[in-house]
Amino acid sequence: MTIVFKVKNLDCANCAKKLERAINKLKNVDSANLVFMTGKLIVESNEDANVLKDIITKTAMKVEPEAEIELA
Amino acid sequence: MKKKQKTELIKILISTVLFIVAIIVDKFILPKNVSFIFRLIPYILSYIVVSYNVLKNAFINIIHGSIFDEQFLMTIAGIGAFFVGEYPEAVIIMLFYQIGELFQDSAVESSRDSIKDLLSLAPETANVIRNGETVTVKASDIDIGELILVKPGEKVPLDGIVISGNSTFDTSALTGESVPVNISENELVLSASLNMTNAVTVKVEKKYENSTATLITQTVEKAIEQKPKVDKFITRFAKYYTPIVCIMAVIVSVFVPLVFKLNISEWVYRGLMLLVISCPCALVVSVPLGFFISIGCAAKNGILVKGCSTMEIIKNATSVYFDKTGTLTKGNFAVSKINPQKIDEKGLLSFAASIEKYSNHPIAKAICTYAENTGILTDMANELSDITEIPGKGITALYNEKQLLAGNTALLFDNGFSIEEIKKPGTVIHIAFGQDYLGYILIADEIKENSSKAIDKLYSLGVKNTVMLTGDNSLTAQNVAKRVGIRKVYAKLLPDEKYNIITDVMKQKEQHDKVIFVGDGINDSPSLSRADIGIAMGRSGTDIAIEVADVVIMDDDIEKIPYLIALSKKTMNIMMWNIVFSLTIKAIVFILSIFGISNMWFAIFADVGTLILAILNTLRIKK
Repeated sequence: MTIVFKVKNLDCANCAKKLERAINKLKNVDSANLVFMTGKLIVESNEDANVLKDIITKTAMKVEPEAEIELA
Repeated sequence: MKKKQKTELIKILISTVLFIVAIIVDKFILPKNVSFIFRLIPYILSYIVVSYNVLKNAFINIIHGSIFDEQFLMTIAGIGAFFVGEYPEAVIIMLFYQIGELFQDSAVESSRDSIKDLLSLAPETANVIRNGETVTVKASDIDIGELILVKPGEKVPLDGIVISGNSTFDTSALTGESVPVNISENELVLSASLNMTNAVTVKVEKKYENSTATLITQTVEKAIEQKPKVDKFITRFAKYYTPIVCIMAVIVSVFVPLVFKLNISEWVYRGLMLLVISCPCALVVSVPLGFFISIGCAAKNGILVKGCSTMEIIKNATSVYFDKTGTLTKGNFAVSKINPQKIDEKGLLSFAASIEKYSNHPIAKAICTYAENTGILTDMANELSDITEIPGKGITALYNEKQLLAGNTALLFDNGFSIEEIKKPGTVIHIAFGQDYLGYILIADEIKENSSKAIDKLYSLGVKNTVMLTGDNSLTAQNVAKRVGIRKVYAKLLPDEKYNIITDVMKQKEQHDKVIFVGDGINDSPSLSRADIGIAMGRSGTDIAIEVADVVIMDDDIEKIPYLIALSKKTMNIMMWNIVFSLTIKAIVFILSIFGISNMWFAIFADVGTLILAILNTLRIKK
């Protein structure tokens, strides 16, 4: 299933890359694509969207604490 | 500039002023023998103003165990510089780091805004006429068949047919073509066209999600989501770069002086310089920003590029295969030669147009249109009788009790005329009246005005093979090819033969050489998807062709193919240059820092300077 999030306050292109890598490593995520230019995060996962949002927010706290994750 | 960026700018300015004050106090006011504390305080004030947020984030990051975070590394570099007594450098690191960030933010922000403008093609609301009243509703709530009112100054929200009124429309948002077009009753008007003169009523033909404007917006958004090869390379590079540089920094500033008993503050300074260059931002930002700008640029010019990879590879196009009708030619027939005998041109046309009025064949229509446009009288049409259309041959009628014939050689032959085969490209219509052969009219598909210019430009961009694939007869095909400058022709092809040719080419070519196929018909779609890059014509193109193509040219202007190749070359050159430039600078500073030849200013340039230069360079794609 494809779940789309909006990521706000992405500081730099490299930060987006780091966040994308970290999300890709998550167990419940099959694949993640974070588009720096639009702040769109496209995740393939079978997890419930809201649960996934919490997991991703937690991950984001570790690599990119300023980023805010919202369901699109 | 956004609010956040404004506050950053103010902080940078205040900090700069404090920094200048600090330098003056340090170098000119304070006596040499005063305690370092007094010199330090003004610098620290300046430092805190500019780096308060960074320090805060760095602190949060370290709690979460993220040690390769850029802000954390910059904090270490700054604080480290204070400890080794390089106060001005400490402030400068953070000051420039923030300037770089601000610059990057505003560049990205302004590019985002310009694309957003570009993508908000059609209005989200529409004036729909329901029960005789005009109400404004969301465009997505309108059904096919409903009537909408589009006033002057408004954009058309949904694709539809004009049913009353006529007006001039600016379609530049869709096609990049700035000349306005007149659209009158019963003609199609596409969403995102700007109504310039009169109010019109439009019958909706497509739902919001299927209207042209929505499709364009979605296509461009999707295109940007795709990660091309160069991006994958950068991702892999960035993954290792920061950790490696940081580990080197630790080795240089801690292990080397301890093991070899060297001056620790000298080596810490060298390590700090490595930390300053540890962010690969200049490299990382130029790739998405570059593709974003170039795909936006293409869209603005009426070219829909469906993915970054297309933009990445189309610059290597060496072969371009063209479908003929609708691609190189307009796909509509027109009179190309009139050859009268025993009669003048006007007379011949008058006979021809009068009888062809009774036929619906495209060729007949071409003759009638020509006659109408040149003011030829066709009054005799009303006096014709016994009109018979003979499929595949032509049309016959009686006029003044004599037989009038218009058709091909076979028709004339059947009626006792013996005439020579005319070896000219196109379709020949012979005219005979009574016992007299009056001559012929040649009908040919019109070549697009700029086809030959487009082909010339392709050659100058490094395309070596230009090939035409057509189902048409070889005489016509050869003629069109010669006139537009295409080097090779395959004529009389069946649809699957076109595909076989493309398949063979794809098998035989070198990996690096890219093959473009340009077409518009349903039968072109296998070839469009088989070639490296399939380019479909948006206007004459069938839905399936547009769907499978990698690139859609909205207004069928084939001169946009060389434009796109040139844009791809420019984009990729700029991107490559950015990558090579920033890597080289960083490598040089990296080595110089380790050997202690560099200083902090070099390191800051390698970090922020390359970032700013890379962004400025990337913005050049727009021009």
